[in-house]
Amino acid sequence: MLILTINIGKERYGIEAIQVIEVIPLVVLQSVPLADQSIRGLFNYRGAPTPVVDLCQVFEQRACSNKLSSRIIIICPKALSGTPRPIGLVAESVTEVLQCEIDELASSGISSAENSCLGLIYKHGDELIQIIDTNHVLPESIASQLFSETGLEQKQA
Amino acid sequence: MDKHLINDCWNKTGVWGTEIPRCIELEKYIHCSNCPVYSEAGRKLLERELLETDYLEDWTKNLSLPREEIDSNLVSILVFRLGDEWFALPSQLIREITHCDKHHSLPHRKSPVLRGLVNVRGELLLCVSLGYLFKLHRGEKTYDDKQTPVHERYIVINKEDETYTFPASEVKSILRYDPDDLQKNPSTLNKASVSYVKGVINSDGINIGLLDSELVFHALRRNI
Repeated sequence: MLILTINIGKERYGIEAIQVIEVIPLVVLQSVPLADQSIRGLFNYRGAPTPVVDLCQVFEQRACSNKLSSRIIIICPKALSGTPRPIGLVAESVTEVLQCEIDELASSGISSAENSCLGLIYKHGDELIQIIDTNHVLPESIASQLFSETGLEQKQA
Repeated sequence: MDKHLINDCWNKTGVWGTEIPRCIELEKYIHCSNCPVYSEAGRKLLERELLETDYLEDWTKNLSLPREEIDSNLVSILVFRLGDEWFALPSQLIREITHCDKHHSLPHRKSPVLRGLVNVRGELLLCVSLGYLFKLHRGEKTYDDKQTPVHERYIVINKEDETYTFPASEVKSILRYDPDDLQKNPSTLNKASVSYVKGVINSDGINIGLLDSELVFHALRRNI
């Protein structure tokens, strides 16, 4: 399988390429006041308002660096409730993809309810790459804010 | 990242430089573009701070537009010329386009369609003449001008385990067409070739006869 590698701080992570719709550069984001800190803002992605979540904020409680290599990864996670919709994840050093075999993956042996998106490790040379499952990458508190359709339902009612 | 932080060894001892002694890694990597030092330097360029706001705004604007849908119905074909007539074959059948070399004729073979054998990358392949098969005449018009020189090429076609090579007066391009745009054969096509043509596509003012590959392969099999 093909994995897209990203950095969050010093650590290297991987996302299965099949879960990625597109990798795009940083864009001008419309900020959403009073939303969770890790929700960096909204932008118009091919006609649909799309929220962008800062992965550095989720993992390390700091904003992603503002570099050319920091990019937005568009994914479409299975929603906890409501219809799935694309969201953007910002991460650092989104510059590479790696080819790896499924039997090269190992379990990290560490799991908890909070980090349910992690668990698989790919050993690439001397480096350990943790594979992120994008379906579970967002903590429930953030996911519930992203997939709510309350505003629309109220308007239509 | 400042430019001076990057050691551009490829411009000094590498393939774009002339300094002696040459980089010893070249023996291993042959070209700097295969060397990890070069790709690492390229990646470093992306570690620059994002300062230009134009860049952000351009992308914001670009990404707000709907994605350009590519019509997946399109079929890819290779357009080539035999004499004065334009033909096309599905790109899937094309194995290679190569420069024309001498063909070696086979003794005791009288079929004009089979011209002989050619050597393509060390492999002996049957060389056939589609021009003969379609009973075409030698081209009368000149296609060669100073700006775009025209070269005769060998086209290697392959279907299952059958491989043939044929010379074409010119190989133009790969074209994608919508099967719905295929027009009926005009009466101007000569009679022999018309039976091999499925339909006509008009592109840039030239009419291209799309060949029926089944028929062409069948006819070649019969004629050699």
